[in-house]
Amino acid sequence: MATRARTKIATRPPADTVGIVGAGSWGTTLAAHVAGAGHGTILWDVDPAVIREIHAKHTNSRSLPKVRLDRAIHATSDLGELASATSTLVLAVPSTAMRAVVTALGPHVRADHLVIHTAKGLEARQRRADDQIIRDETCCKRFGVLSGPNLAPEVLAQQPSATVIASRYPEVIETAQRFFVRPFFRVYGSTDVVGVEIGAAVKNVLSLAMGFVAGMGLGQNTRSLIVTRGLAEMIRIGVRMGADPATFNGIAGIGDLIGSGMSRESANFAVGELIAHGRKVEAAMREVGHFAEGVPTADALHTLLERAPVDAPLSRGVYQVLYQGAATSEVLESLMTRPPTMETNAHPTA
Amino acid sequence: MRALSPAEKEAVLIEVQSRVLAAKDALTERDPNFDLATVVNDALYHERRRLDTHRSSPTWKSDAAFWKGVSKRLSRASDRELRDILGSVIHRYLQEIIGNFDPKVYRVATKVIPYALSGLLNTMSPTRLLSGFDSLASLDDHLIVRGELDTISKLIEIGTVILVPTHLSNMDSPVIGYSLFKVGLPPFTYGAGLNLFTNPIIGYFMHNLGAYKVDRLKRDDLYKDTLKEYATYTLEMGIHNLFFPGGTRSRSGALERKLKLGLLGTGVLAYQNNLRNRKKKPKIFVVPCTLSYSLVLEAETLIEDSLKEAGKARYIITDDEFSKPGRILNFLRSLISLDSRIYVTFSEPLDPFGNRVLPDGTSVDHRGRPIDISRYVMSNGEVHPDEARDAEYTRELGDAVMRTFARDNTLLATHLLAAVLFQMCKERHPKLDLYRLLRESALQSEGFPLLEVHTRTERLLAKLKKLVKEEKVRYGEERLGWDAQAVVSEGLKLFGVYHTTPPATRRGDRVFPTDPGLLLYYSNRTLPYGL
Ligand SMILES: NC(=O)c1ccc[n+]([C@@H]2O[C@H](COP(=O)([O-])OP(=O)(O)OC[C@H]3O[C@@H](n4cnc5c(N)ncnc54)[C@H](O)[C@@H]3O)[C@@H](O)[C@H]2O)c1
Repeated sequence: MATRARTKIATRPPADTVGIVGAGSWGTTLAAHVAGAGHGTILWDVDPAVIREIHAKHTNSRSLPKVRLDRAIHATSDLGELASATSTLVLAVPSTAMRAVVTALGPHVRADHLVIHTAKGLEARQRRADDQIIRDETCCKRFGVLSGPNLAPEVLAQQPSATVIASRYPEVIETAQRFFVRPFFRVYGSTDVVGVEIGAAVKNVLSLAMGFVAGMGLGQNTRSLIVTRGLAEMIRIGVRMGADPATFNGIAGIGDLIGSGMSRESANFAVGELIAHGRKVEAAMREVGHFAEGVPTADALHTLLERAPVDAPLSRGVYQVLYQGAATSEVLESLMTRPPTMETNAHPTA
Repeated sequence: MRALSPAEKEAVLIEVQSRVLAAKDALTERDPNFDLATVVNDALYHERRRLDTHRSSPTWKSDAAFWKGVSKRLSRASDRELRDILGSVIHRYLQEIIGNFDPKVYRVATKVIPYALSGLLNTMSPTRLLSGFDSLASLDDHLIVRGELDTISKLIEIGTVILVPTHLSNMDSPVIGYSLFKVGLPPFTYGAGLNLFTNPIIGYFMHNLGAYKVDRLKRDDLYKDTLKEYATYTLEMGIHNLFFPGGTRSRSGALERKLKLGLLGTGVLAYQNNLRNRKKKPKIFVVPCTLSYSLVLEAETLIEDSLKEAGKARYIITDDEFSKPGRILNFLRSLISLDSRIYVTFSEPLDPFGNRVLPDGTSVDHRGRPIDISRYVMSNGEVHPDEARDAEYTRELGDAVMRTFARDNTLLATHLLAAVLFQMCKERHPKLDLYRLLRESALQSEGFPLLEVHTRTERLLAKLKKLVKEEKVRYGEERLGWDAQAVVSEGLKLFGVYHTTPPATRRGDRVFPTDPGLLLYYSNRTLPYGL
């Protein structure tokens, strides 16, 4: 298998090939997206069965059932091979797997690699954003984060969408735009890496809250309450971490919040809904059939906020439901009965 | 370092001049909104302002005549003439910058320094003041040079080194110069402020130390570009450089929290030029260096300046303790007679991208794996210049330098005692803003019980001990051990000897914050550690 992969992989120069780490639903979608534009694409996954299937049948039934993949997409189980055939790497694994995956990738990364991650979470124990993991575990300096309201099936169906690539290095932005821009897909650049990472992580936590509200049978008023106050909270957290508040008014902030955050297509939302129906967290995830990244992120965010206190009642509420056994109704009630306050400028950081 | 002949010196000037010009030409090509006239006009504008406000400059007359000429030629210059004018401005800047720089004199001078220093002490003071000890030997004993000395002596053979020290005092450059000599490292060239050359005492060394001249009153971009290109080119020539990355002396006494990335960025530029020119030893190494003094010569002036209202603080200070020979003498005498020490710590080297460097010159990532760093700047076998990218690399380097500063900073009794006392002042007046806090604290008559000062110092030492063990900071009072009473009494003793008003004074069993501003100054050295 490896031999076959190698001969095929060599068909395009590394500068025109994207290596995608993680053949989950987003990684596989991105591979199809990039290959569709005529660039070289190689997918890696930890699960050899997935790689074998992509090779043999050009399908990935685990993550994208019923989708036929472009034959130009190559697959490998060897990270060294992936790295040597590419100069751009995209990390499409959740934050919970980021440390393990990047550690394994580390020895193969060269100083000329550009690395882009797509995770929407925070590392649990270390309370680190994912870009910090890239710094810790590789020699890469030129990295970025890609995030936005991009539900995989809709991108795959070529529905008009937009995303943000944030990096301090213009080269990373230009490269992401070169690979990902398509007539139905706009890629905006940003230099606010922290803002885009925080936006994505907090959105996943708020998406659970939105699921709670839907599961409790509440209507549009409550949802927009969560969206707007959630956005205010996202901004407070972001600013505390050094982000530019304007980022949150964009695609990776409010955009992602009202997009994937409010949709049942989002695992976080769906899991939240089931929790409000009384399911345990694990059971809800099993039932949805997809990992909800907001769950570990709520925990990581909680620890982060203990160290850098910010007024974040919604995130705290989600944490109480997930980790302290509080009922969603109880938490909502306590949120609603806080003393009245001003809408803006009324949340000094503690 | 090999000596340059006058002809070679002229060649340096021509090379740097043509590089600066070429960069401006390239900009003209790339950017339709850019033109050479703007560059010259900007320089003219800033230089006229400087000449208006600083009439005492020793070169005032010839500068004024030069710029008058420029202004006259400028009004009816063709494109070609414009370029000539630009060239002549750069040339004039370079002549001042390069000045007496002569590596041969430089090398001889560093051999002479220790004797000169001792001579300095003797001429400035009646011998009886210093009787009882050999001043040179004593001074030498009080200077502790430590750190990665072996690595650095290896790296100067493998590539070119940029030394980037913390900056507290005008004493820093002679102290570093002498430290390099003491441990057998070669001299480094560096840019010294023009005012230092006119200083009665230190000017003598400056002229002979191979320092090049930096006029911080010149504010135009062309001057800064010229200076940067000059430094870059000397690095390419294999001349080791010293920059104070903080730009000026720390006003608040704190470690540098923001670095001047312009000069730091010469490393990545010189490295790329070396690769392009296929130099045998292309690598540039950056060595952070931390200086710690129990007492800082100019502390009083500096903290006063840092406490001024925003906008009133001075970028350049020339009338401080450093310009008063009596203060310098008094300072050195205090240093020697009280057995206090100056610590100079050379840290682990970095590459221009902020990675750690091993003694054999290999850059490594956080996991210790070697990195082929040429790939940060090359693609398809070609060096690929990118200003925005290099600025980011330099920012990474700056962050790494600041982390290193914090890690290798040496805390001394005066810093610790100041931290304890300043904290006690704050607790006594929890509601006051900084300015009122300083005023009220100085006035208060009851002071603090010595016993409590001891207890708190003990607590602080316990925290510090843990940090030292985790290699997050260094401790310089090993000879006092971790004994709080000894640290407090050492701090009080030092506080009593040099400053006009002691930062703190003990009377009976109480300690008084007699100059809270100075307490703030010395305690600021402990800021990064949350003690
Ligand atoms: N699916 C989307 O629509 C979408 C859109 C934008 C961004 N994202 C983000 O992209 C990331 C991936 O999402 P996804 O939906 O593709 O997830 P997924 O669960 O479908 O896929 C995750 C991938 O990570 C791999 N993985 C998980 N744990 C691992 C471990 N310990 N070691 C090695 N590999 C491991 C899996 O094998 C799989 O390939 C997430 O952070 C998500 O928030 C997803």
